[in-house]
Order: sequence, then C-alpha cells, then structure tokens
Amino acid sequence: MKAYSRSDEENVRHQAMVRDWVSSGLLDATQGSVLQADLQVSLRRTNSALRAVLAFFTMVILFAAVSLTGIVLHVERDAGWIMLGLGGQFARYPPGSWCVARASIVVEWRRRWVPRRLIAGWSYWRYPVVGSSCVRRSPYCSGRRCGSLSRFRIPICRCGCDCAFGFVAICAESGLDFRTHSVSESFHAGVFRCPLREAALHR
Amino acid sequence: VESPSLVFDYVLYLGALAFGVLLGYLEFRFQVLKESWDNYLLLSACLYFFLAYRFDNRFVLSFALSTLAGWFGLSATRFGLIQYGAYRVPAIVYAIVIALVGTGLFQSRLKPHFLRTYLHVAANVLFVALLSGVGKNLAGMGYLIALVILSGLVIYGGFRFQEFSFAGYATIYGYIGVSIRLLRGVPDERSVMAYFIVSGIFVIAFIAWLAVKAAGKK
Repeated sequence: MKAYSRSDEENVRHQAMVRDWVSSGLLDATQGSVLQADLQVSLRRTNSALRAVLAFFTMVILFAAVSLTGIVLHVERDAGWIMLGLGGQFARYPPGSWCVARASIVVEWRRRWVPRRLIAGWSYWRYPVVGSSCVRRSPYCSGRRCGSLSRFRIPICRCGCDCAFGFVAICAESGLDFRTHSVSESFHAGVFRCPLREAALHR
Repeated sequence: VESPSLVFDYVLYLGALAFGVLLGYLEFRFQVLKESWDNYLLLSACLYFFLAYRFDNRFVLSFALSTLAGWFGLSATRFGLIQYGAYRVPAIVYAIVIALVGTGLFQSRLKPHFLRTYLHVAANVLFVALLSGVGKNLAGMGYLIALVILSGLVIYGGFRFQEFSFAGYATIYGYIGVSIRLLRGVPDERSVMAYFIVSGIFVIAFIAWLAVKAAGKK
C-alpha cells in the first residue's frame, strides 16, 4: 500500500538522516544545506500535535464503529468482539490510504511507526556489537567510534572504521549523491580514499 | 543559565519530586504546620520556580506551576472565598493569571522560551475547568458557550501562530464538551455510536482542511 513514489519516501528519510548528521556535528550547516537542497520533495509532513489529534479521532471512530457493529449484530461472546476488533484494524486501511492519496500533506499518517521504532531500537543495540567485533580485526579499522556509526545511520564502511564520517562530508562538498555512491564503490572509483586504508596498503 | 544536559534536567526534576515527598513525610510525622499545611505548597512552588529559572528547566517550571495551582485552590477554600471542593472558579482565575504572568515575563524578555510552558498549563487548566461545568443543569449551557468560543479562538490562534498543540487541545476539549451536552439523555447506544462515527469523520476532515490551508500559507 504505497501512496507515494519510492524516491519521495527515500528523500523524506534522507532528510531526517541529514538533520541528524548536522545536529551531531558530523556535517556543518553549509554541507547540510547543500544535501538538503538535493532532497527537496513536494510532500510536507503533518505537525506531530495534529497527527496526535488525528490519531485520537481515528481511534474514536474505530471504537465506535466496532461497538456499533457489535450492538447491531448482537455480539455477546468475547471471541466475537475480538474478531470484530481485528476486523476493524484491517478495515481502517482503505479509508486511510484514500485520505493519504487525496491530501499529500498527511505524509506518514498511516506509517507503521511502532515496528519502525522497534527495528531502530534493535539496530541501535545490534550495531555496537557488530562494530566492536570489527575492532582490530581488519587492518583498515581504526577501532574508534565504530559502534556510534549506526546511531547516526551513516553508510558504514565495510571494515567498520570511521572513514565513512568523512564520506558524507566529501559528497556534500563535491556535489556527489551520497545515496547512489556507496563507500566501497567510491574507494574503487578513487573518489574517496580512507587514510587508514591507504596507510595499510603502503605498509 | 542554559541547562547542561538532558540527564541533568531529569536529575533536577527527580530532586524536586523528592523534596515534595520529604515535605509530605515531615508533615505526616511531626505535624508542623497542621491546618495551614497548604503553605508547604507555596514554599515548594517558590523553590521550584527558583530552580526552574536558575537551571533553565521547563519540567520543573511545569511542576512549580502545578504546585502553585494546588496552593491557589486550597487557599481560596481556607480563606472562605469559595465552598470546599468548588475549584472551578479559582482554576479559571489561576489560568488567566498565569497566562498573563507568562506573557508579561515574555515581554520583559525574562526566559522568553518559558512562555509556551505557562500557556500549556494555563490552556489545560482553563479547558478542564470549563469542561467540568458543561454537565451542570443550569449553568452548563453558559460553560459550553464559553468552551466553544475559547476553542474557536485557540484553534484560530494555533494555526495562525503555528502552535498546533494548542489547536489540538482546543479540538479535543471542545469536542468532549459538545459531545457531553449533545449526548445527555440519549439512551440508545446505536445513536451514541453513530454520533461518534459521524462527528469523528467531520472533525478529521476539518483538521485536515485546516492543515492543508496552513501548509498552503507557508
């Protein structure tokens, strides 16, 4: 059930990533604005307070609709109410999708934020472990800040070293699209060289 | 003075809460102030205001405002200004007072970013006070009219100044108030549920329309 184009949805996600990078000091404001200029979309995100109000009234409608159906059908057993509740959960998607398609302002209105948050929380705990296992195993790994890379969702260098920090900044300065140039491809193309890797190769 | 970190903010908030618990225990154990125990609330509120302004902490400011609200209501009862348990009028007065104080401090540029906290507390207290009167038999209609007018003004102001959380409060409190009055004495459950479905759809359409209009003006 996609209401927007893939590129629009990716750009909205990348805008959030760039904001994270600027706020965490990985990019300066000028670099951030260069990247943000490339990520413009015609969609506009609804304010979180308004989304909370919309969610509240959606719940009111859903509860009332399920209750009304149960009353009309004279549902008396608990199992019947549970089935009705589950049916109501599925029934809300068509009108939700219709509303989203009608008004592009309500981007992310029906986004499944709970699974997204769960996955984000999981990856936050998972990547430090992966990063830690990378420390000193690879000759290119500096062993510094590997784990913190995932927190800022920066494209991670295969060896896990923090050269990827510079990668995004260099993309911003040189006008490259960080979405289409992966770190490892850029190594091979000679666009970006990890100083640690270079030092290891010349050793 | 800017707050050093979020952790510090929470530690300060926890300290403020612990201070309140300590005062409660002291009065329970030793009965120092006895009947005039509401002065503890005033003392706590003063301390919390100092901490909020000293450490730039909006959590503690909201705590100070709610503690002051408690003192306001209890003092009005103790001095015989109102009947015991009748807190609606003091709540309305309190909300207006803190909204004016917050605006005054904002205009004098003393921690102007605290204005939103003052207005959040004032709006919630005012809406709840008006809402609590809607169900009354005689005065209920007056409270409902006041609630609807206030909700309309706050929704307009919320969209005008891009403060959407206030528009959200006004929508929800206004809806609850109107629903309480309309559904009084309606015995049929089907009619009640149908009302919630139809009115909910109207409110969502209204909010979406306002949001699209607000986005168009940006």
